[in-house]
Amino acid sequence: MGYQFIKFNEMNVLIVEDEKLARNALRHSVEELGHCAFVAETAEDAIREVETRQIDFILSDILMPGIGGLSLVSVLRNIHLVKIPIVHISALDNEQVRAHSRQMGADDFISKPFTITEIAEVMEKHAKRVA
Amino acid sequence: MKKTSAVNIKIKISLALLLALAAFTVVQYLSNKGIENMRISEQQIIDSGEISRRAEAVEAAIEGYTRKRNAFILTGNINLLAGSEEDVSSAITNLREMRELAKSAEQTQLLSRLDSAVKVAIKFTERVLITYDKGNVTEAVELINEARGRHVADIEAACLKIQQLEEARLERIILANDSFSRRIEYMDYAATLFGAIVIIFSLFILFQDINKRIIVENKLRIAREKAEESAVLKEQFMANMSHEIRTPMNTVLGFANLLGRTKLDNKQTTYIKAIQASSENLLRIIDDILDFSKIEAGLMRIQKTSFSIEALLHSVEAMLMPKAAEKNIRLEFQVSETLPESVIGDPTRLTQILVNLIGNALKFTDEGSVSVKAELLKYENEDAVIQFTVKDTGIGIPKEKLEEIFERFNQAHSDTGRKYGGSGLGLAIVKRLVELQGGAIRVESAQDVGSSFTFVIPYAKSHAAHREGESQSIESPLKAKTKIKILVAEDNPLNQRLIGTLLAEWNIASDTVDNGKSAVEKLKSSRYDLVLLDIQMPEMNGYEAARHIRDKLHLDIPIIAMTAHVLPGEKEKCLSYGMTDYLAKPIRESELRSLIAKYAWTAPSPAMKSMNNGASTNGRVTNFDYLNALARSNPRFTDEMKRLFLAECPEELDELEQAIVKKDFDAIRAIAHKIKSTIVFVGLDLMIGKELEEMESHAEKQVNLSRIKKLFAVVNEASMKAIEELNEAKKRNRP
Repeated sequence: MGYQFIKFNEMNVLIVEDEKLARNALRHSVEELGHCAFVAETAEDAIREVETRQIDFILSDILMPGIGGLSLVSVLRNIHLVKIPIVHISALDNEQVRAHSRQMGADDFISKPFTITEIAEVMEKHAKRVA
Repeated sequence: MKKTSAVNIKIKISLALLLALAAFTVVQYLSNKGIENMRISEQQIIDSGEISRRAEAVEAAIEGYTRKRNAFILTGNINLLAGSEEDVSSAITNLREMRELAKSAEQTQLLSRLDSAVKVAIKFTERVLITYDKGNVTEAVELINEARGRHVADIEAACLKIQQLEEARLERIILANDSFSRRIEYMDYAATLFGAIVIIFSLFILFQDINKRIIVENKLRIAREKAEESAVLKEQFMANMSHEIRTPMNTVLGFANLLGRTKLDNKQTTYIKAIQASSENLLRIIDDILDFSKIEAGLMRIQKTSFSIEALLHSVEAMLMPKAAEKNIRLEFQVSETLPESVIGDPTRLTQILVNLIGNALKFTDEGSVSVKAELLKYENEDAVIQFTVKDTGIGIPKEKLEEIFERFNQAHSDTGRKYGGSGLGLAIVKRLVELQGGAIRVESAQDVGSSFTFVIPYAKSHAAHREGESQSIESPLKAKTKIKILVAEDNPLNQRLIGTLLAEWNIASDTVDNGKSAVEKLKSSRYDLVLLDIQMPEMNGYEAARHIRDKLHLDIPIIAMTAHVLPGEKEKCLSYGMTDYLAKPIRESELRSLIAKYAWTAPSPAMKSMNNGASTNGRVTNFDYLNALARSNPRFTDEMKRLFLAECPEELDELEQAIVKKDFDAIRAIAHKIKSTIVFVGLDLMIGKELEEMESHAEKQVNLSRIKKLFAVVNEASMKAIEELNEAKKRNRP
């Protein structure tokens, strides 16, 4: 008997995170919440993923080699005209970073270390837009 | 079918049949009339023929008579006169007969004419004979010659006339007869046709009605069959429903409770409380509905065990006191000393009744008190009749509603449900439960003054003195052990998580499998202290698994059944399959804990707990709280994360060291950040998080390399220790 009452709509979630353990943890959390997880190690990879896949939700680190998470959002919003929810997850947590993240077009911010509940909440909060 | 239409049909059909009857009566009457008419005409025809025949006979007689006389006169031979007398008498007889047959004036007239002609002829012949007798032969011959047969001709003419008349009359009769018969025939046809139509019409109505009845009957039959079928399915349905509803409720409530224990702000706490309250409420309503259905279906069983009413009242008091305190209502219990020490009956149902009544009293009372009284009313046939009274100072029940409140779905005030909640089944259940135990309940109430519910239940006296200590002994562990491992066999992932989380919270190690077969396999290979066994599982259900564990593996490990089947007999069934105890879903934290405690476990004392918690005091640098919380009891994930840490961490430390050697501040900063992210998963951030942050900020400003080097030494040492600990743990797990 399958009980699916907690699972909201399954989404394709792209995880952008250069750090292996964090990436794995994020992937686990997303899958635990009943979604499909795709991963990218850099912002450049993430852009490629968004171009080739039907991604519904992005969870992105900020500090990464290459163009980084803030620029990633800006590129996606302004060049690829992506409207899906994008959430920053970073250990770099202060008002300045948060403001910057918002400015670039991210929808929310989760501070590291994250909890599965925070992921669930933020996804539920913004998932409505996807549906 | 409506009554009026049935009456209508009766009237219609009776009327139609009457009409048909009338029509056939008319047909019968007309036929009789026709036959009668035929008989009359036949007689007339016969008569008419008779008249004609007799007229001919008269004519022949007179002619014969005249001829014989004439022959005698002319020859003088007397022998020729022989038979003449008979001729005359025959003519006269025939004439008389004809007169009798004659009916119309015309006939009579013609008959008299014939009659006189005959008379004239006879007289004339007699005159001739007299003349001849006198010797005047010549004169007689002359007379004959003179007459020249005139008299006979007259008779002939009269006869002809009569014959003609009779012929005409016959024709008339036949004609009249014909037309009359035809008329009768037409009328006959018409009446028959009418009757037939009426009968066909009534048959049509009848058939239509029968048809309708057949359709209705069919519908009724189908409905009855369905009802019977659903009655059979009801029991099964009840079992399934309770399972289906309780399973998700279990999850909602369980997670809400867990969520309530996480760090929440005021708003969130309020929300969680609302979820908990609503869930509890919903669960209670579901319980009510299930209970009521069970009672209605006759599935409710009343236990017979020995228990102490006084002790039961104490536990009810303890259960409801917080609620009373919350509303600032006095809750008083008064137990009469005359109560028997222990009785035989159903403590569960008594608790249910009391909790329901007292709960109601508390619900509907805003200030004042709720008092509960229990006393021995009398002894009756060896039974102790106990009277319980629950009295409140609440809103009361309007007089006109007093009769109805024990009926289902009835609440005294139409807005009660809205204001106070509840299914409206509580009192209906209470009443039936009391009655099932052979008791009775009544209510007295005055609006705005309060209500008083009084019920009596007869209990058999228990001879075995109830041992006070018995209930406590349940709490004391049979096996005192603080570190135990439990096998959880449960197919529902949410329940798995819930149980896993609870066990993790109590620091109880556990393995989880999702069917009975895997549970049996696990028990073959590993040692556990207790098994939590779900009943409804794929592959091998709980019953089979339990039997297998007892009969094939010969293990006496405690097995606790978990099931949402709350039907009576379920517990007995579980026990009969060799299970040790039974836990009804939704799983209540306290129940689970006390059951585990009962069979396998001593909860660590607070002192022990604090020792365990202080990770650093026992020299360990790793702490997997965060990782476990993230994993949600998914051991594969934690293992993988640990493996990743073992692979990543040394590499990152190398990179950091090289960056420091190269004085590459950007790289230092990036790698420090990366390490910070990595070590979180083994709890190292509690040890060296601050150091890494400091390193990052120095690197950002491109200053203080010596400080960075010192910080690196600390980070390196702690990380190395963590790696060591993880490797050790790995070795321990894989001997």
